[in-house]
Amino acid sequence: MAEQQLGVLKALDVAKTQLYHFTAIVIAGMGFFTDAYDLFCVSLVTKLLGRIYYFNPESAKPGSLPPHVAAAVNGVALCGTLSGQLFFGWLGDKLGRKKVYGLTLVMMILCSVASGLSFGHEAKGVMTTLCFFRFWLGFGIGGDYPLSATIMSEYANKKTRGAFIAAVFAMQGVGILAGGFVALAVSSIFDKKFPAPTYAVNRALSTPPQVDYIWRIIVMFGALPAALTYYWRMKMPETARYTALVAKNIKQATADMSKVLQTDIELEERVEDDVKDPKQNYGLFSKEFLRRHGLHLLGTTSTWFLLDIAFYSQNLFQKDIFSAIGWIPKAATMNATHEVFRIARAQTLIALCSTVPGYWFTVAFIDTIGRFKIQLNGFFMMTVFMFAIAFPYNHWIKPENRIGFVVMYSLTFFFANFGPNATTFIVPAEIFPARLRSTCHGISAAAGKAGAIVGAFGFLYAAQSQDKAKVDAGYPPGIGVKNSLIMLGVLNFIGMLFTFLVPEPKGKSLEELSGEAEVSHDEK
Amino acid sequence: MEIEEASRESGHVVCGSWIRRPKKVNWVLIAKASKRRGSSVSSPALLNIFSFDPITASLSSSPLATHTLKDSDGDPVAVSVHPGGDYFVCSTSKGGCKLFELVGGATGITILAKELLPLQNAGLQKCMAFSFDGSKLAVGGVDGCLRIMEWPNLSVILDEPKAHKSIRDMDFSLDSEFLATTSTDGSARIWKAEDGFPLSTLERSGDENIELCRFSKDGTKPFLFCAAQRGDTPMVNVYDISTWKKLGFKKLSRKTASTMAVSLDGKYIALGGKDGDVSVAEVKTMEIYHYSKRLHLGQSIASLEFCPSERVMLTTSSEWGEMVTKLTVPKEWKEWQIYALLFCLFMASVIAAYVFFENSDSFWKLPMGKDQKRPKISLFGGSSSTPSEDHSRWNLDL
Repeated sequence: MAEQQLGVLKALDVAKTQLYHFTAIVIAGMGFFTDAYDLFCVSLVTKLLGRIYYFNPESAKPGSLPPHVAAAVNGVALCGTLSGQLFFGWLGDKLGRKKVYGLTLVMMILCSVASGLSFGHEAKGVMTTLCFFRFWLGFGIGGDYPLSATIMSEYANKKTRGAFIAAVFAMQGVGILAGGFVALAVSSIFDKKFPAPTYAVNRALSTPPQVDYIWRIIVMFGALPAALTYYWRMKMPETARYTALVAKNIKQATADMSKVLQTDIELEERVEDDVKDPKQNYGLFSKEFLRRHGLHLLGTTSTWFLLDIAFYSQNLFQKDIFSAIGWIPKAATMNATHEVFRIARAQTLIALCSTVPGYWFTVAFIDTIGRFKIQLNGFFMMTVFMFAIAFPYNHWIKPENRIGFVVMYSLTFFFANFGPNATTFIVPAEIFPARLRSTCHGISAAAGKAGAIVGAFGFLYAAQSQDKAKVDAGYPPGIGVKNSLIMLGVLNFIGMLFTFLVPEPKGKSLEELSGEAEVSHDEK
Repeated sequence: MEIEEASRESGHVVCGSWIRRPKKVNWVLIAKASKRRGSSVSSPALLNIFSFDPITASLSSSPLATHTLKDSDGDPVAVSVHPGGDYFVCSTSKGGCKLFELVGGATGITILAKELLPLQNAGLQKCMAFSFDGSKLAVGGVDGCLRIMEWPNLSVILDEPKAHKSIRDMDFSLDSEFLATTSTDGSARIWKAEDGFPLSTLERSGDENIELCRFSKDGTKPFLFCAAQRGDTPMVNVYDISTWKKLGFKKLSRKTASTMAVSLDGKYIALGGKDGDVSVAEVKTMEIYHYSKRLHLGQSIASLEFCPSERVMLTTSSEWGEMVTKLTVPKEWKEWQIYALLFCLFMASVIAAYVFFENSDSFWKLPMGKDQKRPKISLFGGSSSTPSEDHSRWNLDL
């Protein structure tokens, strides 16, 4: 048994591509799949929650979540993600990553199940319980995400590493798709078993009691991929791999080790202390860093921040835009189950036709076109399509132009993923000096999370109609969908401008990029 | 010719090694040389297996199993245990190399001798090592011959008669891709374990002699540590295994090192000295965290190994036999403490959520106030088409 297990890693490296590698891709990618499913599935059910728990028999519109409640339900997991990243990052140093990994997955399983349960049937109790466990689910995801990336690099075949890592990362898109498919299946089943009239026909009967199970099933289903991930991970052998070599982090590792060692020329260096080159020893908060990399750091943080405002707001609130242009009919013309079905269908179609292909286009072209051009082109096309949707907004609202709208909207997502969504993750890992690389990447990632929170909480308010009569219950009037989309287009344009602050890493060695090779020039 | 006093029962331990067993159990293999008085053997060469008690950090007083080597084999020289824990190999002074299997369960174990055909007549092998993934075995002889074999089928990957003047030490890398070997003349070489191709000779300063080598076992630190002697000064060199260039060095012991080990999780590196000292340093900072002066008083440390699962070290020397030493390294968080911390965070958020729940009416803005509930309807459209059994079950649940 032990010998059989020990042979697995060898087979991963030596054998040609075969079942081993596809199995490894699925197992390594399950972490990203689970994270994406859990984070985004809630957006499919927020309308339903409003109908069930914010029902008002006097209102001509079905119940809907007030803005701060919708923001809380959508955004609380993101806050948990941030907390979890900090906690588990610290914990990983104490316990070692493998033990922490099991803990995060157990948390995700338990909190997915708990999210679908509630204390009592009063609206206040249900909503409080949901937000509470969504926070802790996000906490577990915050721990899982970086660990999935690490474990992914440990199992990568050394010869086809790039393709392997890309395939694993694409599992994130599959997770988003899975959320849509589950919602479609569950709502179809309930619609057949428990038919109901539309809200306009009968306000009370349009929400049968059984639909309460729909959102619970969709949310709790997230425990299944987490459990599968846990099971498969525990079956995999302990990795014995220099992850620094696989993940190309050798510079960081050798730099850290060199700090604590003496060198053979140390005796000479003591004599030459006053002429020691200060250019290679600057810290994060220093004039030298500011001079060399200040603009680069501004570029990576700002582009990630601006991207995630658009990316997260659109992912979480697609259904509101679809309702505004009529692709999803007015809420009053549907019953509760119909609404879930149509929202899931629309979001799944967008993911299937644009988000997922965008990932694969980036994989295919990132080393030929280059990161700079992909990011620039991505932001530019996002700007163009956002404006193309927003400015003739009244044109798209007409029923005969709906397909055109969907095409334009899909292309926005396509170029987000064949564009800044991928490159903002990759570039910060390449352009900073080895000693500061992980710190700068962390700062950029934190800016991205901040953008996600702004997007999650901000768009919901902004997109409300300027006409008070059309506003959903509890919302103050906003600037409307049209102006919100214009604003997002402007943000994308600003992101394109900030892209010029970031250098192109393609084809350059890390030493050249981070300025560590400048010594030879100075000495001439 | 040398006459030993019969009263030294613990004498003549040659080497020792940990044996990993399932469920965090660890055993210890101790190889003892024979003792002679005049021309007769007073006790034969032995291979003993002891159990290890992590509570008391000590070995069992009597062995779990014992195997006696034949007189014709001479004395054990080196042992290496397969990572799976079921096999070990032992080189002898006269009889080549021997293979042994551990057989048995809870009631008792037996050491079974097996054939190790390719190495039966190999001559004296100074050091042996299994690769980390258990798929290869390497042996180095005093004649400088290096052999690498597949495990368990024992097909020969490399048989290099003149790898070194005389092989001193060897180690496989964590990913089982490289084999490092050192020689008595101070040189060190790197071999590709897959096909035995020589990759590199390690750089060293003018009068530097590389004596021992151990690969890092931390996946984030791709380094090779070498104990070297520069004149009278012992030090540890660190090499980057992606380029095989020296990164630097550090003095981690006061006397010349006779043996070297890296902990299984890669956090600590230990050196055993020729006068019985043992020093343990943290790899991350390359600072000494534990120093046992004269642990084996006046005797060279023959073997040194970290316990796979505890902060405990096994050391052996000829006169003082085997010792198990608990390390005084910085206290690490115990698992239960971290779980307790997480539980406290969770309970704190439960309390915060409850307080919020009790005071959150204005936040939720429920259109029907405190009494807002899920709609409960006694009649709904299409009920006549629903089977009554399903109907009553759903009502009962709600």
